[in-house]
Amino acid sequence: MATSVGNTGEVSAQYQLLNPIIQVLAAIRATPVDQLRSEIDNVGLPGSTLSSQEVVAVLVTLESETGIDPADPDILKDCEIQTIEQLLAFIQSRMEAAP
Amino acid sequence: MTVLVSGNTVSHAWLAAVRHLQDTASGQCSNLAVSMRNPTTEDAAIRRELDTFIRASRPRHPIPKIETVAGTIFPAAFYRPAAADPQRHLYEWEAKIRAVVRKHPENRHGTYFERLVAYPGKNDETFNQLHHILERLRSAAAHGWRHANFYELAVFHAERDSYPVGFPCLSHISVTLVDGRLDATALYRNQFFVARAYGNFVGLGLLLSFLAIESGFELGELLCVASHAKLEYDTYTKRAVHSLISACESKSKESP
Repeated sequence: MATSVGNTGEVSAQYQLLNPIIQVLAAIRATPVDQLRSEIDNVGLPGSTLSSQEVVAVLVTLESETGIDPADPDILKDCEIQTIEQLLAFIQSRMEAAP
Repeated sequence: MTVLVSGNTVSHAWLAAVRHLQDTASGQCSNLAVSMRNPTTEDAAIRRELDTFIRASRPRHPIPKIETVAGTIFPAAFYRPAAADPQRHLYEWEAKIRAVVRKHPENRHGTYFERLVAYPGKNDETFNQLHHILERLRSAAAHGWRHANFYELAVFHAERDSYPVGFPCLSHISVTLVDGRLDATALYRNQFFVARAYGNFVGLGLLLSFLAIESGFELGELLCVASHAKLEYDTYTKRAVHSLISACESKSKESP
């Protein structure tokens, strides 16, 4: 799983973020966590497409954990985040930018 | 003058409508009725052409993606027919993101789906119209009814909606049960056929499909009436809009 997240030293940090995202996505999709994990494993992260509604729902649910404002205009301006990989990158960039 | 155009799919009905508007002097008309026999079916080639046009609209005159427009009528990402309680699942997740969605300037007055599940009443009370008509449809199914016509969904709110432009363009949706099949009619006071109509049709088709699946009735047809219909030449230019229509026509798998 971790190897499909990235190929640098950031793997570990991304993997820490991936778990809660999978939990929230599983709840949104009414899917068991294990099933979602294996779906992501099967297609690889970029193929796991997300709708803008799902992205907002994940960020709303993770808000307290990540400190990211889910109403960030970058997300809401017709959300361009469409894969779990892009979502992870977005969260990580905001966390790194935070003081 | 009233005109009725139709198509087997969302794509072909939309194409017939924009062709009609193209033939008018100003790219607009009143009372344009668009009928879709299969409101959850699309022609992938036409959809691709429109998606390409939408992508090319950025950053100058950005058009929202078709899924985004459709999601304001029915947030399909939250409807999971296999969930233990599909309606509750849908209502709860949409409610969870509502405050965030409203922060987008174009959603500041809410979304169409919000009006369907939380129509504003007095003293800040809201009414879930969608659940109400779904319960009525289930009751009809339980009684073996195959004909009924009291499934109405209001979007326009006479006290709140005094804006000359913007939300809500969709005013009302009427669902009818005929021969065990669910048909719907939607009324728009104003409809933009380049930036919005296709997504509107997709969203309405998904909404009707939700009602059909959850009530057990057959999915029927969708009729969408625009009191005012317009091709947005002023925003995207006449040349670009006509070029889009030609590209869609050349890819269409259905004869005009």
